[in-house]
Amino acid sequence: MIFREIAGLLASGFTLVLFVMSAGAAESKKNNESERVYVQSVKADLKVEPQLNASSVLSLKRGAELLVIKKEGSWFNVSAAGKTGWISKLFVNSNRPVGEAELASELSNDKNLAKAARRRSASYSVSASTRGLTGGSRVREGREKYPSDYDAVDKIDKSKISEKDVKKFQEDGKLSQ
Amino acid sequence: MNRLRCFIALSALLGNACATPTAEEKQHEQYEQLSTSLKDEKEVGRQMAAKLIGSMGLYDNPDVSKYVSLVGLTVAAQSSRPEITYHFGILKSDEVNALATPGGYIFVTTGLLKSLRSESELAGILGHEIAHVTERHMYSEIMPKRQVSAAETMTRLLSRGASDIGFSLGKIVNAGMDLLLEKGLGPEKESEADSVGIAFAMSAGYSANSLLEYLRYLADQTSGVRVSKTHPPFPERITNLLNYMQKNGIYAKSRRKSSALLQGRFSRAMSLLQIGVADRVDSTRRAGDTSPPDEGVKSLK
Repeated sequence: MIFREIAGLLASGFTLVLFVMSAGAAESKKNNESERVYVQSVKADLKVEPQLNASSVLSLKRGAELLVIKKEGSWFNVSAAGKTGWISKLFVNSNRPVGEAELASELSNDKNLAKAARRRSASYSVSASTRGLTGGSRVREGREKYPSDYDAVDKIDKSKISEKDVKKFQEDGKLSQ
Repeated sequence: MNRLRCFIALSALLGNACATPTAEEKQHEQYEQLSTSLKDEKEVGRQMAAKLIGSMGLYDNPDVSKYVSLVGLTVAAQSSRPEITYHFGILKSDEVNALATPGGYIFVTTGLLKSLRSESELAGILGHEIAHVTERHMYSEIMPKRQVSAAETMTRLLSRGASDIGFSLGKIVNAGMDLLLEKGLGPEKESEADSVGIAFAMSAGYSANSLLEYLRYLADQTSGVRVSKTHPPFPERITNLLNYMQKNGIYAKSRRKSSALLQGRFSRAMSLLQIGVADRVDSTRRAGDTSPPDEGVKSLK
């Protein structure tokens, strides 16, 4: 009796895996049908043709959502704000742009974490992670081919330049036009 | 009856797992994956940065460092990975070189700074290094590529996602250092970094020709002799970059003079480098001036 129940459970489990896989495939297909990319650079131009020097159809800012019509080499033919044009893949990505600090705060949000935990059961991906080895992990020196200087790296890490300073630097050099 | 309970439990699971994710959930998933991979990448890059500084020493002049960082951040703002916080540093070395580690640590040598003639050239060089990071040229090379078996996946799931790859961190960092200082990334990736780098620099407002002019200048200075074991010979890089620029209509035959504004702040920053006037390329030279400089890249042998 117990044996039959175990067999039944295994069969149900197998069905579950098949179902999840097919659902995933359907989801992937759906996404391909309406692929969106987002501008990652501070600014980018939608071009008349797939060439860096081509004239601009529309000026876009970081975060602009673009609907992909087709791909050609390293260029996307996209539509945005009722206009179509070309944008180099160098300036876009499939996720909404996010800064490092924003990324950390987004993930520390309880509400989102709860959602993530729920979703994770269906979409676990194995990551080549070095988690748990950050902070405090120091490669031993002496036997190493290249000695390490973490104090200097800490100094570089701490020397922050604000976005305001970068903007001023661009404006002072008349680079923004 | 028991079987019915099992069926109900499984149905509940199915309903939960296969619910179509909302846009917000989908975005959160993307961010979660981004965050995990970024942490790994940054830790590898940070350890490599520590080794580079440990081997060569950090040139620590706050004003020069700030200038290099500002040029770098201006170019990086046009890149495709805003989630990366870029850090720029100067290494004490007479060798004309620039290096990038995964995760956004970018270095130029004092030797390279002495050989530059304009801010646009520096922007082109930093664009090249930023491109190595955005295109994951090194990271994709040094991270282990192996198929994870179903059994291993299950083991990791049961251990709540902990990964054993962390124990390979030292090996990964050493493989990166070997690529960076010994083997190089290969001609294809270097050529791509040249192209992508100028696309970023140009988009940030710098002259598209600068990197090409700088490579030509270095080629002249070294009489075409291969000076770097990690990079392809200059003539090969120049040909590939020129092809890319012509294809994209961004090659200007008549060279654009660097603006007085850019040239002024470039000269001021470079004058802070603790070097003798005779050692430094005449800062009044304009980009594109092909006449021999006073001393130029004498460190290139």
